[in-house]
Amino acid sequence: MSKQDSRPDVLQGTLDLMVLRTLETMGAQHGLGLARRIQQISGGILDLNQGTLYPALLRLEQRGWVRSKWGVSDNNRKAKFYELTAKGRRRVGEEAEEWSRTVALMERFLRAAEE
Amino acid sequence: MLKRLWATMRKGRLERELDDEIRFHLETLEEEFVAKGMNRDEARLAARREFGAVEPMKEAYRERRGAAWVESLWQDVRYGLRVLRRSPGFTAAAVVTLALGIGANTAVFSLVRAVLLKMQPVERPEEIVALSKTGGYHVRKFSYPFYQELEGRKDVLAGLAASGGWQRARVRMDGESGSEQRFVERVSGTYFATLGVRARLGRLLEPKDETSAVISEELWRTRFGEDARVLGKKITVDQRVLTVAGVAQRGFRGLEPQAPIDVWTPILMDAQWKKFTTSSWLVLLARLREGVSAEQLREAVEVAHRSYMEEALRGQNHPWKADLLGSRVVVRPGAAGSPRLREQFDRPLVFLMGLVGLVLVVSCANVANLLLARGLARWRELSVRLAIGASRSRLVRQMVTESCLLAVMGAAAGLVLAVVGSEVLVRFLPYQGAGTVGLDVTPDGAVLGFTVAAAAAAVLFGVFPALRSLRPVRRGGQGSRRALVAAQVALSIVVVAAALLFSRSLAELRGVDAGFDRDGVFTFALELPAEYTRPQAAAVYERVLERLQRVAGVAAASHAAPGPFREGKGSRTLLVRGERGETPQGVDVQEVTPNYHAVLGAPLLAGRGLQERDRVRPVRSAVVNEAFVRRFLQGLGEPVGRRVGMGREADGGPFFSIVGVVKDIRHQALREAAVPMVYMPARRDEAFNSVPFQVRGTMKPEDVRAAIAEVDGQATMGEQWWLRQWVEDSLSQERLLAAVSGMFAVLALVVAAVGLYGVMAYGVARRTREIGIRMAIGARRGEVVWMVVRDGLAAVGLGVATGLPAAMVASRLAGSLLYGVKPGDAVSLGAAVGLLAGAGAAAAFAPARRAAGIEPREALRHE
Repeated sequence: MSKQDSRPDVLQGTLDLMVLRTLETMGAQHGLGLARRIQQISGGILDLNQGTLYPALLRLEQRGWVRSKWGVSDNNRKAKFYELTAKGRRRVGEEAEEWSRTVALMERFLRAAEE
Repeated sequence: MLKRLWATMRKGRLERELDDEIRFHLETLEEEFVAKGMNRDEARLAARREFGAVEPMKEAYRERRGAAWVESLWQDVRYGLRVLRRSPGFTAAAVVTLALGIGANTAVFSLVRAVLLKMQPVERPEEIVALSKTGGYHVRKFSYPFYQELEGRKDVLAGLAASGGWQRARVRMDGESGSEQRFVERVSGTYFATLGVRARLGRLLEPKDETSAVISEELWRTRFGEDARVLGKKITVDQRVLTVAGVAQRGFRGLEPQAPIDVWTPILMDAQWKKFTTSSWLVLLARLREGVSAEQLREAVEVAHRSYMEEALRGQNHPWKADLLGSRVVVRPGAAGSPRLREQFDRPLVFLMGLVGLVLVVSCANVANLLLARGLARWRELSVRLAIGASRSRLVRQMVTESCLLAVMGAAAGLVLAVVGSEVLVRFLPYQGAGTVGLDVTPDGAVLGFTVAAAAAAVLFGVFPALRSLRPVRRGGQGSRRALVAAQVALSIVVVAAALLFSRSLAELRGVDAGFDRDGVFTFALELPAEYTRPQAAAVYERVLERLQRVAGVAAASHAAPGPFREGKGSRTLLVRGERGETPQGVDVQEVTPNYHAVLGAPLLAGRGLQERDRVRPVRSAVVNEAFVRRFLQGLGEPVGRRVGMGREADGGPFFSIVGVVKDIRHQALREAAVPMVYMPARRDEAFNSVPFQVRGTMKPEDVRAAIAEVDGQATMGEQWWLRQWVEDSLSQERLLAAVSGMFAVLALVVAAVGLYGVMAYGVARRTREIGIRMAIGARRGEVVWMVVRDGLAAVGLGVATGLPAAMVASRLAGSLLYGVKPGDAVSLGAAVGLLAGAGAAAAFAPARRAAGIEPREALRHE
């Protein structure tokens, strides 16, 4: 149903988790701030089209993990701010755990293949 | 659902918000790049690069928004289906009730659409109107000179066409020996241009055409294999040879859906008709000029017609002068539905549509009642869900979804019923004259739209109980349920009363003394090839009559023009006294063989009947009916032996002696009292090429056919009917009303009774404890039964009190559709109330018995 969401450069699940996790640590953020922060943390490894973020944010909002409201940015302009909901906060924990498990699993396979 | 609707409505706002968000992003980036020292253009490009392509991103965003909509809808639907599956009894009851209501409505609507609404495939069909006349002697149609005169009226008309009407005719294709029956219409050269119909091939008829024909695309495809060489081929229509000039556009088969035309021929094939100034035989089709209303056109045509008639009749002593001058012009939609069936069936169909609408309301009320009862039963479940945090709107949405599901299932089942039902309804339309051969009632877009609308009405009914069951305080709900039942009863009374009135009308009409015995009479038109001369034709008929006498089972045979219940009638001018200067009067005439009245079983009242010796030239004897005597010979003494003048050359024209008087026969319709009639002997030495025959007896039609083939191999039999069928066919309007409203009445009764039963049963279940206590302290079972029944009857009584006045109003609306019963007929209304009360009592009985069977001890332990 939502094939267009999975851009070739970022896996859908990973972007979700990145956004959620960033919101958890930084609090309410607008789209640009989020994009910049994600690129900053990725250290330039991630070649992210910043626009890709918005459909992802909408999806998170529809699932009830994120909510948005209009506010004023640092440069004194009207901007839409996103923040985690209680449900979203719980979700970050779950997703992180799942991700760690996946990573651990993949690592084992990669090691096994080396031997 | 409302929320979603709101979402689509404010889509504009969501789009703007998205734009704002993107603009903020891009402009902020751009400013930062400028701050880093880029110039504006570079900065803008750099910002775009960072952001990525804007349009694909917006597309993805929008897609996401839509997907969520579908996802949550799907979720609701799945949950709703699960819930409905859990209570199959409730679901079945609701779906069946809805299917019956929606199905009946869709079926009637299919018919209404086919007969009244469906637009024919012509250009801007709403501008096309059919002109006709009322009140005059020659009703409906116009003469050719008047058509020519009206054609010049460019101030009100954008086009005018004339049609000589359609008929089933024998058509023979070029180079083939056999002929086939096809619908043929004679039209003016302006016909296709006025309607805006285009040629598929070749050209269409033009004003100068006299020997060309146009064929339908269907005929071209099925008979000529779409071969372009059809142009120029000869086609023989009733012995006239015409040249195919073109093929009409695909799908166009004329304006009467029950007579799909295959061949159009020029109207002037009968050039002699041009001359008759007062003979009316044309249907006029006009295209309204832009800005001219149908009423304005009507007035203009009426004025033009009156002055035309005054001119045409100036100085003439015409027998129908007053009638002709007094006729009014009627304008009807010309390219919508079936103009011919419309004349007879528009009021009955609209009335039935109204009745069946009431049935839908009764059904919906039933579903609302069921939902209400179930809402109360689910109250506990809903309270729990509310308590653990489900939002109220979410629950409403859920219940609305359930209603929608019920409506969709009901509509789907209803549509199936409707397809069957509308086929049944078509059978009630008359065959004779109009015919229903080509009337297509398969559901199309508009019918489906109607079904959806009916289903939407059902959903609205579902919303009300849905909201109700979410009230924080648990309330009985018996009040509103009882009100719903009362409403059902009230509406049902209207439907039942109408059905009773219509069936009484039909019974009255069937009981009318038509003046003849319609059983055991077989009628048919005998048609001879056009090359037979009149004496030859007469000789064949004589041999046929003589041969028919020898067919097994035949008691008597006759021929008569036009005969009983046939369209078209002969008429003559009449001079009662035969004095010079006497104003001639119009009178209907039938030309019959001596056996005619014996075949029909119509008794002779005075004098003698016609005899073989009367059938020779010069014809000087005639028989008249009672109505003739009443109308023309009052106070003039003994009718038998009286001489009257008759015929076109009325002044000093041939005189007839009245040799006998026969009982009145309703020759046209059972509704219409007999008109004055002169029966003249049909001459044995001269006859037309087509004459209707009547045969009485117990013979088999195939023996009759064989006998005729034996006499003359070239004679063909036109439409063949038993007279009883023919008469029955003339009652098609009354039969349609009686049968269909009868079905609706049964439907309404059953549904209302089920509704009442539901309320009562629920009431008893709820009051089990109370009843137990009552019985424990000494109430007798009879009292308990009465208590419950009284409850039900109270609801019925309320319904009756509101339904009776409504039924009175409805019956008054039915007014002219009735025969022999008054609109407010006490017997019918009383019977309707009785039926409802009976159904109510029956519905209350089972719950009452259950109440009486309650054991106090059990009941008190109940909670």
